Amino acid sequence: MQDTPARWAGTAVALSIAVAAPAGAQIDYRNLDDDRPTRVEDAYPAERYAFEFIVPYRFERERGSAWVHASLLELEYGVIRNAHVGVKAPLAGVRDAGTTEWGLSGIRVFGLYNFNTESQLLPAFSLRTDAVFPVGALAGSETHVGVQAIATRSWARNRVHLNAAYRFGRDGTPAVVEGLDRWWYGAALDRTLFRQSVLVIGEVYARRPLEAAPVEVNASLGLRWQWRPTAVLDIGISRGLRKGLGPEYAVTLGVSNAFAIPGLMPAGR
Amino acid sequence: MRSLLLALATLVVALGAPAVPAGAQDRRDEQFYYPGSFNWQFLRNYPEAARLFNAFDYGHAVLYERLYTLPDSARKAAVLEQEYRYLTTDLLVRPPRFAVAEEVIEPTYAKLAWKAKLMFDWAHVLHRQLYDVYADERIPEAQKDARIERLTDYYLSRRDIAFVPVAKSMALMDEQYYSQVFRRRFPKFNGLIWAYHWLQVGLYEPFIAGRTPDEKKAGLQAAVARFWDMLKDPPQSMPRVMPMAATVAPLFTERHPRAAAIFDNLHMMHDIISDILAADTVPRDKKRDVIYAVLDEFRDTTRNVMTREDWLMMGHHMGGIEAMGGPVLGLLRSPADSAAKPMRMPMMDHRP
Repeated sequence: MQDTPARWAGTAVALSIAVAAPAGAQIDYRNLDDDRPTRVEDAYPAERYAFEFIVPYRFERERGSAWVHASLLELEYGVIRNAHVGVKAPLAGVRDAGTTEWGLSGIRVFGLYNFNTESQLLPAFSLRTDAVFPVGALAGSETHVGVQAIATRSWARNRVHLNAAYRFGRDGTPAVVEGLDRWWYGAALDRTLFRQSVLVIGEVYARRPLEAAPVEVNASLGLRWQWRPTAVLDIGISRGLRKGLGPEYAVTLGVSNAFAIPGLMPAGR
Repeated sequence: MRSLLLALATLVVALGAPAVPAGAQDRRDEQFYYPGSFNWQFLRNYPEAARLFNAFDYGHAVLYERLYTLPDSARKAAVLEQEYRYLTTDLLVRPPRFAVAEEVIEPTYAKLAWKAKLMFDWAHVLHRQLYDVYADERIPEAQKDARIERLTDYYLSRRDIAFVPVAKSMALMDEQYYSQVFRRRFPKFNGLIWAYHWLQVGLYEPFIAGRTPDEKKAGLQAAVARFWDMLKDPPQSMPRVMPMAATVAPLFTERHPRAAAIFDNLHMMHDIISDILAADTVPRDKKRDVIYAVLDEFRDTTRNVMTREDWLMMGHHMGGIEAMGGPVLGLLRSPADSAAKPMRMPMMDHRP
């Protein structure tokens, strides 16, 4: 069982690449999804009728001797104009005190609604809602629901994104990965290199995972690169900035692919 | 936590507090293109032409950004000259692999007139998908026309952002109080835009006329080479009037009159927005309203529409094919010549 998540992740990457042909928009590298590669995301949803399949991998070295491998498979769909819904299935492996445990770390469903595109006066604003269900060996003990506000503002080739989230309900036992924090907020700055189809991103965020837990402050750097017309590769590193809190280091990489299904498109005429 | 959220709220307000007053808020309203295995075949099989269009997108975007953000005419002229040089000696020579994120090049304009950008993007996707169908040798020739009509249907299903499939009156472009300002003040950049439009509609012709993949490729290369010829002695070597589909691409227009009219309307709208942004007679705080009023016009089939006969004859009245950049077909030398001296593709040489 020990290598199963890696095998699943490999299979998912191969699947994502295989479905790459009929899809995508050539500037998907600018669509910041959460954790791809930064936690902070942009305020814009998937296009109407677009599916986005994301196959990420994350390795996190905790303070002390523990480490976590995770593959947070994700599917998004532009269900109506200016909104998308999605599902995440995080597969994780945790090694601590000489033993390793693998399993599903809950199932997350989410929806994001965008109120406006950026104008001369206002940034783009979106509201996101997440629900995490206690499914799998590494899941938390409770069903959790959270809300998140997102704003994006651009200046020339740069954009700033602000995210702030709050989770309702009692803490219970937390999930190993992809649990909802009690609250977190953060800011990211990105810069587009349009000739190379590359986005460079940096972020800082603060999080309180549980009501009584200390506040972590973490920073990340990452890149998103348009690999094919329909596929984007991303890579990122992060580190906790407060002594003894947050990851010693974490590395993430992923591939995402956009596609659509003709049967779901309008007929025209 | 409360103070942190307060700080965040302050930041959000700060992000949204630049000086310029806003009009109504636009929605993002983006939609995915019609799926199918034909997508991206143009880029795959004809990268030298497909990538060129990525640089064209930059040219359109940077033009609007500079016209809107640089009100001073002397400064505007100097910056547009710099951009022209950058385009013709660098970006068009080494075009990007993928489409340019136009919001990055025209951030101020995109915030001013998002809907105009959305309408252009939607029509550019149709352009690209039609090239993809023609470039896909797996689709039998007999099925390509039906596929193109299907894509045109899908395009038109977005009535809120689709240009109408009937030709609108040229008076919308040439007889308004702001008309022709851009072409008079900046003839070289205007000629570059018209050369883009010549190639964008003209490229359909070798796809239709070519009987084999080699003939199509040679025809495309000849068209691209002719585009470069237009840049040799600007603005004299450039089109003198807006290239129209019926004149530059008669085979395509005959087969797909709806798409041809959409592209003529698109190219007219490009010129109209250049004029509105360049014209001092349109106050800066009215430019969005004027642009949006014209967008409404170009989505309306009940007003200012040309008859099909007038549309087909319009090119003749405007000076004919020679005034529009010349014919696309018939540019090739004899096959023997072509085989002996392969055509040089500047953007593939990686040098100006």
